[in-house]
Amino acid sequence: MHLKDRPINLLTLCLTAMVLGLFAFTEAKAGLDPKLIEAAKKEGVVNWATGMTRPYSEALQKMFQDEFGIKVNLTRIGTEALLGRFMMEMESGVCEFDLLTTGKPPSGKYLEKKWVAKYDSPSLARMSPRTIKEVYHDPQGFWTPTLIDLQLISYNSKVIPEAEAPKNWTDLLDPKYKDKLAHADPRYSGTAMLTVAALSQFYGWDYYAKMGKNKPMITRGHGALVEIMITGERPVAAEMLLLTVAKPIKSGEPIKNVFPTDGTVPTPWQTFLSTSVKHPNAAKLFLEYFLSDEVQKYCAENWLLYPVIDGLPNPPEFPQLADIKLMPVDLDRAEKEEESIKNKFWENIE
Amino acid sequence: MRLVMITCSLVLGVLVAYPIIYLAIFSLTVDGQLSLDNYLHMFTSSRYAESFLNTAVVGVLVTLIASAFGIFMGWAVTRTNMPWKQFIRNFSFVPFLVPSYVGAMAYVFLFGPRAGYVNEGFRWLFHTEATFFNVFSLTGLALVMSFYCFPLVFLQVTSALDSLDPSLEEAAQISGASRLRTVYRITIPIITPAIINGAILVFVFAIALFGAPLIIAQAARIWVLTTRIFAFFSPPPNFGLASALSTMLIFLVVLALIGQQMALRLGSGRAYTTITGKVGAKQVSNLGGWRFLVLGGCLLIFFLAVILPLMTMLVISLFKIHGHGFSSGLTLEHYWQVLTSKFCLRAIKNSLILAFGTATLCSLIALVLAYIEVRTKAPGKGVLRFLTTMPLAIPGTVMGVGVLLAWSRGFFNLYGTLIIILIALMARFITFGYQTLCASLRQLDPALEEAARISGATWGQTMRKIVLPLIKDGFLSAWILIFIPSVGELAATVMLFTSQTVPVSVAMFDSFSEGVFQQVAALSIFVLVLIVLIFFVFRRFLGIRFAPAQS
Repeated sequence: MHLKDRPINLLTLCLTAMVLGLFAFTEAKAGLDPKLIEAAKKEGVVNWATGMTRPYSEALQKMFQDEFGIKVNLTRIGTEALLGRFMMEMESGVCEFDLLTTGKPPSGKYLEKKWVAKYDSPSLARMSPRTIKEVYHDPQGFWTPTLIDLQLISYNSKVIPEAEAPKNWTDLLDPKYKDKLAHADPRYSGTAMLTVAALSQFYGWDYYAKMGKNKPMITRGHGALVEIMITGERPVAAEMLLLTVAKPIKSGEPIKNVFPTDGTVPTPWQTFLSTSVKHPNAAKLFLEYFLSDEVQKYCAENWLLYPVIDGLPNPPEFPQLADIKLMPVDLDRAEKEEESIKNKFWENIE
Repeated sequence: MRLVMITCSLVLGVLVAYPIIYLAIFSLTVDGQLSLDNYLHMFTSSRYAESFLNTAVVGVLVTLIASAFGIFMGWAVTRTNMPWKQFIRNFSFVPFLVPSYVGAMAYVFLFGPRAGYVNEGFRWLFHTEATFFNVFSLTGLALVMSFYCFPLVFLQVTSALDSLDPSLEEAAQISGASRLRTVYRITIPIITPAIINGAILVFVFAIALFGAPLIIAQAARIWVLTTRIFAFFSPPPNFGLASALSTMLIFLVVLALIGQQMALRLGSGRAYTTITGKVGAKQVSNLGGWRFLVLGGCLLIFFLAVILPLMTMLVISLFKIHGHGFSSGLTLEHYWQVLTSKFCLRAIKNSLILAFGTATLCSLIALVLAYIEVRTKAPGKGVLRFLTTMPLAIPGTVMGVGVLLAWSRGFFNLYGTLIIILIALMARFITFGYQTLCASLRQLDPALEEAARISGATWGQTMRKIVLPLIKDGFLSAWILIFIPSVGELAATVMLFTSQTVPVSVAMFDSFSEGVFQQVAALSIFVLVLIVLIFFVFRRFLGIRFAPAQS
């Protein structure tokens, strides 16, 4: 019998083996559990809510959908508003979110009420001890850091020459910046809230009372803040997320970032599963995909974010994270005094 | 009648009273315990007093400005020989189509003190560093809101003037009164209820507005009550204080309603009935050359309220890069993004379904309520009146939370459905239909219905053959007045939406918060075009016209 007459000939076998091998190699390369992928595909959909600005959250949504064919229902709101919504929906028993990625961890009340599900990601083994310690990994396993974002100062270099640009947080109090500052609302933005928590602890509330004399414009979120900076309406962002300026910088906008000499505030994006999760495998797969080398490298290259996975490159032309002076946030204080911090910000800035 | 009253009470109870009861409970609750602390805190805090004052000042300013615009334009299109009257009529409602926050955004792009296009042009033209107009001010906020609200007065005034029996004015002039005296002694007093109704609508609408204050006032660090209340929903939410603050708004509305009743009673002895079954030629003043000046005034208002912001949004939607203006080139890619975005298309679909449902159901219910108010002496109609009007003073955000709390628990859990949003919208906008239909019915002489009944017609036949045809324009005005804001409503829907039920207002606001201004602009233009098309198809197909009722 000739080769060509056999029902499954050798060529077909070789091709099949190559495809399967390539598939296995690809999956192994991504570091993702094939069983998890299979279970997730059976679920077919994941409901993801995030405070990450839309261009980036939609990009990640598309990447995941294209990779696995699993539909991602995306809800995008500022972190504070999102956590508020999460709280209300869990209290009502109608939460539809499987997992959330926020600029502030869901501590305190969220854990007491058992709204956050425990999940020990296998990717934790690929994170550095410094990342785990300084990026607020929860040792109890309730949330997982997924990207390291930084809160710093940005300015429009067409309007503000470098010589006149602020170099640290206290420079922003200089009267020469009157009517030139903008700041995101900590009631809406979780990362802005953490920055206010850090700076108010470091410098006291007098810091914001003095900033109030410069009459900063308060925007709802960082997306609007960066646009106002680009147009020159308010050329100095008194606090800005690296994530939000990534795309404009890549597009050639005249934005310069300043790593304040008195410390940059790290505000990582952490992801957690809700206890009302309806698609647990799809949710876990999404989280693990977020932590895969490919996505982490993509985020560093395109979103100017520092990977949480050890050994991966930093955003291009950015200093090493270890070389950046950080002004860490006291999370316990931020959680316990949350309402007071927001109220005091507005009391002082008005 | 008893059955009708009970049914209306049940409907209003479900729509309005049920969420408000929840709000009342929360305003008297601190940490789950009954307490007056929220009110004590509210009355002893200067911050809330300042918000109250800002709200009242903005409300009065907007009422004055919007009423001036509305009355001037209403008089011009119904009582003068100004050219292009039909054009002004057809397009005067357009400001209402654009959500207040989108209009506010357009004015920020134009009149931002440093980078606003008009201010930049002013500085370039006159070689000065001065700012022509800073929109981030109380005046800026009031002006922008007036452009949005004046159609409420315009529609009331034109409806009243169109329905006015011309023989009254003819009789005055035959008796020797000049044109001006006739207007002052006859026309204005007769349309006073319509003006008062329109002004009250503007006031209560302005003080409960959320979108424009959030864009303009908050950036200017000016707090009004709606933005103060919304701030309480940032975690940890303080529903108690938010509900207590909302009572301040209700207090303002009650004051407005008392003022309305006093104003109507002050004119007691005058009959406001003007649809008497008699027809005659409408009194149109020949303004001579002045008619072009009047036209100029109307067009200027129209330009500032409609053309300028829409042109701004259109141009911005075409810029490749917003901050670079024309130098970045023009593109249709943002429209393409809207048309191909599942998120945007779903939002548009949801909003149209909600708006149609809200307008239709509210108009029908409001018709019954208005008839009870105007034509009956049914006991308890005061309560119905109060319940129908009060929701307008409750900030949409608080109404949204009230509806969320009331309708997302237990057996009647509607969260995640369009129905829960429909309930909130109906509760918010039923008063528009009610006020409009009350004004229409007040102008209908009861003698017409009596004549029908004397001739043997049943109540149903009288309604079908006499009342409804005569108030058809009022009914359809009510429908439109409800449909339009339902499309762009944000404050309540932002608390109730889910990813599947997201309305276009939340989609636009979300994009604005992200700084994706061009997508907001493209989406707003797209939605506006859609609404205008629907309106004109509806009007042509059903023969809606803003014209006097004919016997």
